[in-house]
Amino acid sequence: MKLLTRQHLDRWVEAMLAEKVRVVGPVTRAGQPVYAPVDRASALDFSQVIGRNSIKDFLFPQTEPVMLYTIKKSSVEMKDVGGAGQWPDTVLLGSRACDAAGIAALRSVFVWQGEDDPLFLDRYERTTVVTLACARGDRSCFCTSVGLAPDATEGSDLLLRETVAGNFAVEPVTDKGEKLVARWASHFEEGSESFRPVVPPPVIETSDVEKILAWLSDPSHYQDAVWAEHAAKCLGCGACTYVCPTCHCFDLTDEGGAFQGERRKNWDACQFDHFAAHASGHNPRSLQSQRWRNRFMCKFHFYPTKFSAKGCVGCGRCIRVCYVGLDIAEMMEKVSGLAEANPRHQPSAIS
Amino acid sequence: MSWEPKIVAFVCNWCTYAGADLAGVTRTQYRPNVRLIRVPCTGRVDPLFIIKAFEQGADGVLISGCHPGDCHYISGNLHAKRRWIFFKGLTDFVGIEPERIQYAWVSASEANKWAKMVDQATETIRGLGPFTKYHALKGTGTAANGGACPLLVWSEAWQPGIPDEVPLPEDAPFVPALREKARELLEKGEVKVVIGYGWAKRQRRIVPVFITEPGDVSRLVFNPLCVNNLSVYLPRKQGDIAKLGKPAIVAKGCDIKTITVLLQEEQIGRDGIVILGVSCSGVIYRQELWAGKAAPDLLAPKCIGCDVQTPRLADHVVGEPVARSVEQQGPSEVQRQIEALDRKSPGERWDFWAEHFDRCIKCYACSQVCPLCYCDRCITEKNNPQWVETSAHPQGNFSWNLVRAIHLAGRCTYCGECDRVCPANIPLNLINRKLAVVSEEAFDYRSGYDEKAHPPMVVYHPDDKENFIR
Amino acid sequence: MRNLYLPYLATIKTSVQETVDTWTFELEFQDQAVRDSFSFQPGQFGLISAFGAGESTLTLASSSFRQRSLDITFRKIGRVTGALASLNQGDTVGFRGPYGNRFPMELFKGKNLLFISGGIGLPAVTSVLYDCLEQRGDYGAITILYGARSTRDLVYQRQIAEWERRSDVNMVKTVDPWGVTEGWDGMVGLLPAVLEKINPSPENAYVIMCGPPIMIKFTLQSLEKLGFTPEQIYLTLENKMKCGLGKCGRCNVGDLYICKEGPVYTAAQTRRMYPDF
Repeated sequence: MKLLTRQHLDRWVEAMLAEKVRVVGPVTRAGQPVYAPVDRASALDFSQVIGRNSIKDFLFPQTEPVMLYTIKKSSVEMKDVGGAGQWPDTVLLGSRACDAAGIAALRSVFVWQGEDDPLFLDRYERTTVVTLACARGDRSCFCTSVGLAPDATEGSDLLLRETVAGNFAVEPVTDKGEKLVARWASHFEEGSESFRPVVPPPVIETSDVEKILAWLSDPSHYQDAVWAEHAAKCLGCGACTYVCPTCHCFDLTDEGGAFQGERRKNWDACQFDHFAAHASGHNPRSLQSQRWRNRFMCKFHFYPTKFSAKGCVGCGRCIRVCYVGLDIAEMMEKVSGLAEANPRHQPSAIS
Repeated sequence: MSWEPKIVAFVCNWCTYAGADLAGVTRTQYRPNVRLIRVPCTGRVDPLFIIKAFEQGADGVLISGCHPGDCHYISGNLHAKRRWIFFKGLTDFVGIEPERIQYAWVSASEANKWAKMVDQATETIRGLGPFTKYHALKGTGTAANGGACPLLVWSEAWQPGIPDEVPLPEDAPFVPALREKARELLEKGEVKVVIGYGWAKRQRRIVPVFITEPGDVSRLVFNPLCVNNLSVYLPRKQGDIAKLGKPAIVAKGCDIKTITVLLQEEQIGRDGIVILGVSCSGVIYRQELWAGKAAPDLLAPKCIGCDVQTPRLADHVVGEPVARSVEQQGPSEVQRQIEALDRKSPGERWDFWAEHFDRCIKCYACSQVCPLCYCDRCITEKNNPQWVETSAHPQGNFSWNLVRAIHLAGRCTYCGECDRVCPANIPLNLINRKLAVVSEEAFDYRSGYDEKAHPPMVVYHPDDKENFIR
Repeated sequence: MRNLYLPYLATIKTSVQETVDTWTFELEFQDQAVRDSFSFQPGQFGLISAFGAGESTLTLASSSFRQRSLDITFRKIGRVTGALASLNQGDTVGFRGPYGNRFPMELFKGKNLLFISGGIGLPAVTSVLYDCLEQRGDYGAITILYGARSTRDLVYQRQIAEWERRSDVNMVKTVDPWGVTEGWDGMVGLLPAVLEKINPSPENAYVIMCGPPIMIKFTLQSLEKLGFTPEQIYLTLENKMKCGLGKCGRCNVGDLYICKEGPVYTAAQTRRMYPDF
């Protein structure tokens, strides 16, 4: 077993920074736990439960240009700014298992059916995800209820576990993880120490993602009263989507003056009422409960069936940010209960 | 080439444009730094035009129209003046130098006044230098630089709900009476839904609940955690709630101030709702902060200086009248911060706000939670043209926050919901409160107290102050 | 790796104003290599950029046999189409695509085809029609039923006149009763009613349809009355799109992304869809 001692961790981070590797990890800003790039090892704070922002910010930023254009009389010149090679090598150090699984989910969307998003993929290829198994969770965590665990490896390249001696046991998950260890081999040593136990959040006994998927797959449940009942209080602010590790919706929009500008790729949210509205004014999802349904279905139906990935990783951020107290886990329990009562499972509506 | 100030002038077709024309015809010499934009009336100049001009690179803006009494449309310029009073209060407060936006009356015959004014404005703005502060905001900032974290700085507590070890607050003594009233209304069919507060199913926190069955009224509670302003569910925008039928709403005195504005603006009809007023001796700002008692420093800012503990306008009031507690005496921390900001220089104020707006992630939670942001289509959703850019870069963030504030000027009842929910912790209370102060000082008007009164933006008075207009 | 979001530049070769608010552009790619290699299948769509305004989803309306250029028809309704409408011949637009699935042309071979479209829906089925006319011998009888609110809303009037002249095409045009103007030589009445009047046989036939949702709804009922099965009816659906690549999360109808699994569906498929459009 490879070990990374506490002292070596700091030296390793400093070494990477010296080599212009971007190191992103848990830090405290204005008293708040966030994931952010660090400029020194001592800024890292692994004691926090989870960053307020999702680590997706570093693979799929909130706003980025994809192309610059210049209009000259009747001709147009474009400059591709989404090309490869402009992003630094990045190590996401101290990601949580849920956030890492979120990266896997995003990859399933952005690298799909041979059409690869170059902006995502370029960052992804230059990013190594080093996950630190959680020593504790909080009341909003529910990774165990979506098939993950505090030490799950989905989406991670390297898994670190704290040992009783205060060091980190290193478990490579992918080739990329192996390579990272090999590249910085001098900071890792052989050894064997027993792990500190991880503390998984309690499983929500009454919730079952398989049952939820089965129930959602039946189009007759699309207009079930449960949606309005649960989501009527939603005000449609979209904060949940902005902190969600798997929410991938975006907008492409032109910004600039009359002669030049840029086309930007910006986060968007299915919770906004104009999100799917047609130019004609027709809106396929005109009620907030329908838009909330779309988000829930995206997590537990579209993601697993379409992208073969986990749409919800149980990080609990959407529960933490919601100011009207909408609780996705509560809905998971409700739908599981409905599925129990009516387990009819049809294959996806159209094959 | 040396720098020359770029000034955009919005001029009314009937007076100032003609005045500028006369200056041309009479070959009056003046600085060539203004770009004229002719509008039918100064009343047509939306504050957004001014923001847009700055976004697009203007160093200063001139707005000029007919003298009071001369308006081609009788009162367009007087309405405009009211708007300017608010807008000036806002732009001064966020640190845009007052000289950058100049207001004037120039008649069709005042070619010389026009020429002189342009000369003076050009020189003043030349003295200030280019307004790079605004232009440069684009392309800077954390979110704009691709791959960087928008650096959310949220409320102190990052846990929803109250920890298991902390005792929950007790129900207010009138809760049985509240439930009884709700049951009665539902049973008699007077209302189809009671919008109130209840405990969440999984978490120890208060959430909005919608009671449609008389048997469920026991879910209704009231305690110091009931901070939400539920009147946000009343306007038509909330289609899911509207579908349920006529509502009764559990409302604190402060929430009723918002309902008052909704009535004033005819977004709801008085007969269309039943107001269940509750006496309130203060709610805490964020539920997560509850530590067993409503300590003064946890009170919502709106509770400091509150004068509506006993609700007015309600159809039914439950609870005994309460007096203002010692904790609720002012001046509030918000007031102190506003005064501190007012004492600073424009540049310092600008830096203060630029730093805060940089964090904005454009989630628009502030407008979604605002009961008075009831437009079917918000200005942010209008893309033809794109008035507010969708990217979360600081320039767009700045513009959005100015627009939001001006749209609420003279209307906002300072319920503080936008400030409470902002995931980036932008102190929106300061801006809203500041504009309320402008409203009080300039028009002796406080929003939310009289459902029959006309809000200050929809009326005018010939005596409105104009000491800032040339 | 090519940037998926980067459009190809194309020149507006010709611009035809169809109605007061509808235009057809013939686009030619500026890059020789793209011109030579570009191809698409009937039913596919592209994202057209008006630089400075954004992108709009438009069906490719020309024959897939035509080389070097393609047609798009749009109604000026939003920000992008408004900006497109202000462009002239010789101006530059952007094009991404082709995206989406296609009509199963191989299935239509030897069959009688009934094209039904309303208003601005006609351009969405013309690529199929042009392809059929290109290889006319491969297909059975061709009937085109086209309706619009008024005579002023009819697009492709020149093409309609040409199809009317052909002996191997049965062209039926109709306008709503309150939309008739002097000199109208077509039928009068709502499209489903006219459909029942001309009474096409479902025998050995396929229907290819596009139009506003309300028209689709009632026309499907009429077709059922006439004996068409849902499997015989192909239609193209529209939802708002931004990426066209199954990533931006906007156009979904339940778990179906119109941009990937669509826009062409059979009526049998749409029946089983989540009611989300």
